[in-house]
Amino acid sequence: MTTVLVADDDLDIRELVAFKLAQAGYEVRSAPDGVAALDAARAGGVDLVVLDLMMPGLSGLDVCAELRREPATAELPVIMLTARAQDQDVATGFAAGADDYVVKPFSPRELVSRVQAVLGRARA
Amino acid sequence: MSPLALVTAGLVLVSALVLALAVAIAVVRAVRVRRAARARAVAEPLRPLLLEVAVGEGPEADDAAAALAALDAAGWRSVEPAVLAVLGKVRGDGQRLLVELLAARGVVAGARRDLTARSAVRRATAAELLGAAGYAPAVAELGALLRDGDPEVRLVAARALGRAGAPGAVGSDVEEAPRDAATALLSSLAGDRPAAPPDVVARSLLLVGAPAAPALLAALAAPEPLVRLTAAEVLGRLGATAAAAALEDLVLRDPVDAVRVRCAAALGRLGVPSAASALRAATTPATAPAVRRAAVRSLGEVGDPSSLRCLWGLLDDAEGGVADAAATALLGLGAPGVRLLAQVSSQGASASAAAVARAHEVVTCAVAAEVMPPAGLAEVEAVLADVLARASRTPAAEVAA
Amino acid sequence: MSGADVAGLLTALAGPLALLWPDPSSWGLFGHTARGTVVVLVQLLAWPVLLYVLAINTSYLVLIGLAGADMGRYLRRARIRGVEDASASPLTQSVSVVMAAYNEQAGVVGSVSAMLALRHPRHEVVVVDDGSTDATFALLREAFDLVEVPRRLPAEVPVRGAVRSVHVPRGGRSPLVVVRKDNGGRADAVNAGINAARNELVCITDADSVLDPDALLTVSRPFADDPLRVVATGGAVRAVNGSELVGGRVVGVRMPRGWTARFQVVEYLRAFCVGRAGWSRLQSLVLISGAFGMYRRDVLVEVGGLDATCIGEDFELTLRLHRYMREAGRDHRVVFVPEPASWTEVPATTAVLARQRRRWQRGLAETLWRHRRMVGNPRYGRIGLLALPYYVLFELVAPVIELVGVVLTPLAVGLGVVPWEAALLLMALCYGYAVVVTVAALLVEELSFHRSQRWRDLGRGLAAAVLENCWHRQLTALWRVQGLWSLLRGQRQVWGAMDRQGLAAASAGSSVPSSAPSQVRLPDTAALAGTARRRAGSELLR
Repeated sequence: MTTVLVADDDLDIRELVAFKLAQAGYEVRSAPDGVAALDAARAGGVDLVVLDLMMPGLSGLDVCAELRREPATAELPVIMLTARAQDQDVATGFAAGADDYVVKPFSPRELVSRVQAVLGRARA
Repeated sequence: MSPLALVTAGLVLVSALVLALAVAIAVVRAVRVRRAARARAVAEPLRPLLLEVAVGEGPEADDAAAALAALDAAGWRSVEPAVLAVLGKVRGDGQRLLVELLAARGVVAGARRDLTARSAVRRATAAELLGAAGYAPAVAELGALLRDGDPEVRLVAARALGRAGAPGAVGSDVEEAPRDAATALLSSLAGDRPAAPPDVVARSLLLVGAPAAPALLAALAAPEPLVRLTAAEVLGRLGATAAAAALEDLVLRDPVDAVRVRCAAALGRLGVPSAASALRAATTPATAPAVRRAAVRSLGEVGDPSSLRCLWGLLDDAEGGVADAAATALLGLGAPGVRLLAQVSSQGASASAAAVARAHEVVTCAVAAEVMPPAGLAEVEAVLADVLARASRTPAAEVAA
Repeated sequence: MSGADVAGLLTALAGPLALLWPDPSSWGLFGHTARGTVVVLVQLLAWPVLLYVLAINTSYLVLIGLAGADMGRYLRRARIRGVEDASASPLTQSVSVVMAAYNEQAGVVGSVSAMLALRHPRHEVVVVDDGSTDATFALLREAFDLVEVPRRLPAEVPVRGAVRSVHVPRGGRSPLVVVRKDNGGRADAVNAGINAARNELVCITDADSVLDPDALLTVSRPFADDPLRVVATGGAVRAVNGSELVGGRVVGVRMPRGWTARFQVVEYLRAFCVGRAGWSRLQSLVLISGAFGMYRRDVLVEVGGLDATCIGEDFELTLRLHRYMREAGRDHRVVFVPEPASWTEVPATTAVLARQRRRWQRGLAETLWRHRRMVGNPRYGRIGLLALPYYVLFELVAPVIELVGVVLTPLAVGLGVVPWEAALLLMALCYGYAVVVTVAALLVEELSFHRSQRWRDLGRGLAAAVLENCWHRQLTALWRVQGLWSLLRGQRQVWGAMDRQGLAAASAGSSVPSSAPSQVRLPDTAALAGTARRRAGSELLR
């Protein structure tokens, strides 16, 4: 069962994404902030992370960088979901190691498509 | 009344007041806690329905929307805040369904009516709701709100126009909406004083995006400097390369310095190589310092190698800010720029002491902080090697590397 | 008690009580006996003291009413504030968070991490290590992988302690700058931070402040709404003692254990209600807390940054801003954002608290004296005509009057001038009125932000409001008077003492740059005291 980790401090977003992904047949774990996200990712069994950039404690960029630094999670696919839409922000996101970048407000259907695409690429 | 009686009466009054206030605090808290708990209890079972609608796919979503539309008044009241909260966070089918739900419940119509309410807070709240709903048909009314008497209402209207006029907005007449929104936003900046804070207007124009480009291009010729500089800012961030020629013209010939600064910055963001000549012309000592700084910064962003010489000459400029910007720009030009900086700092290229110090500082900072890309590092090492080689050949040479 | 008994009691008390009202025939007693002196003193001072107490508490109630209106206004507009928008907008003005640190090894890494994690599209954190003698810098260097860079700082704001080095994280991983400089006091360190700051807005805060994640967005909102006029904003500061912190962020607000801390919690609630929100509504805000204030960088540079020679530096800066803008004829606004965004640890022991309050009152007096030209001066608008005279009358002089009342009453009772029942009734009335003011502030808090959740904490708050008048209030009045006295008496002595300490610090290790010896370098006195908070701010000024 493919497991996706959703990390966002906004409860609405967490529930929305979890709902849609569950509908699409994924198992979902939620994390309300960066530290919890890192712990959950390190705990293992996670196949993809949907990550918000601006979270209290540890920001999404830090989490992504940390994940890329550790060998166990270095290949873990990461999709960034954030309200920051400027070219600079997108570049920073990809530079930190993200595999895809989705801007808020987002379309849940589009997000699931991207999740499927990224997972497909990761497996290949 | 004797003084003592007065004092005693006062004491009794004060004690009663303290008691009353304490009880009031307790009551306020109790009421709030109970109300919140009750609202939660009613809203909890409805939450999956809301998520279903927001996700917006398939017949389940339509059923859920119908169920929510058929709720009684109390139920709707408890779930409406959540609906509005989620509305601002989704796009696409989910957004469309949510807006239809709001329309079915009369919320949208109510908000449109409230746009002319007597209370400023209600007008502003209505505008915010229509903006969050991305309700394109309301663009005309929101544009009218930009002439409202209350500054807060105008601010909220400006913000809402960005979302209601955005290309992904909901409702009929979507073709006209972005253009109208852009025109309304730009005209709000005209006149003696701007109707709304310029950066809010700029942000909304950014959200409107490419459909606003024609209006923005036309705004570059507006009589008010604020309109021109906002238009320049937004065009730069939109990446509207078609505006490059107009921006180049303004950088050199606009009478207001603040406008020229923004045009220079915009040209840097556009990154059009043909802009380099105009930017170089804007760095002459006769120009205002702020304009020169912006032009130099943009030369670094445009990345045209023919600017190297110009930037080199500016390294020891009398204006400290311009010289610093020139050094940073050279760093940003990649390998050729770094090579030049390294040569200057090792006094391999002829330059004044100030230029040498500045180049040295910029290069060493970048190397020490490990933000220098590998290509740049290679250049630095090559220059150092070259200098050492020359020094070993000429024992009397002094090397400051 | 029957009606007749009450009437009898009242009649019995009415007689001796008449002594409280001036009776010219008893003037002849002057100087003959101690009792006589006390009688005359009581007659002279009774009415003024009582009227003063009445006036000050009534003014507090008025300010609380204004504050309530201000908070109501703020809350009604919560939905239309657009914080989400600002958090994502590329046009939001960039902020530099400037933090001075001296011997903060205990919490500096956590504090800096929390500052870096604040929600804002473009912000940087500038930490100034003011010549710490402990592991502050070593901890920072290890935690953030700092490397030294030969960056020259512009000298836009004068700084006395020489800057030794500048450090950034390796690879530019986070927007952090650490500046190491020679010890020069908090104000000097903040000035160095202003020089190092590169963004448009500067947020001045402390190493021991805990900020809410949205604090920067909340407090920078007025700059975005009114960019031409707003030059400075301040947020509400609350006491963090006893609250639950997770990841450098307050998750559960709780009342602390000790009564000293509890009284301060209540004091802070009242003070920010009365002292800031109320005045901000009148557009005469003269005090932005040093624990959390945001300023436009260009204006800060124009006025010359913080004044290192003044103890009440945050008050002094705000006054100087107003003065500068007025004299230049520039329309400006200083705005208070009522939403609590910053938390600070208050002294838990009376010894440290005493030092703090003495320092604050001394700072207040110093600043008011320095800007005495503004007091009562119509040229400075509402600040000069309303706020400053109020501060002189009801802040500067208040502890003196209060102490007079506290001392005179038992004296009068002890010497039999006034019957104890009457004195008790009067004191109960005065303090009861003060309790009304405090509980009113608690009510405004409950109606507005209601951060404290638990019922027992509400009970503790109410108890603290009442008990505060038993010994805490009198103690603070005493300390404040001591502060004033030390200023009046030891003006030259204070400088001398500081000088000696400064030189001692110099010979102890950090090499002293060649600044003029007559320049006072204020070493951090709190470091000598241990855990005292260095902020020379004036949080509780009404």
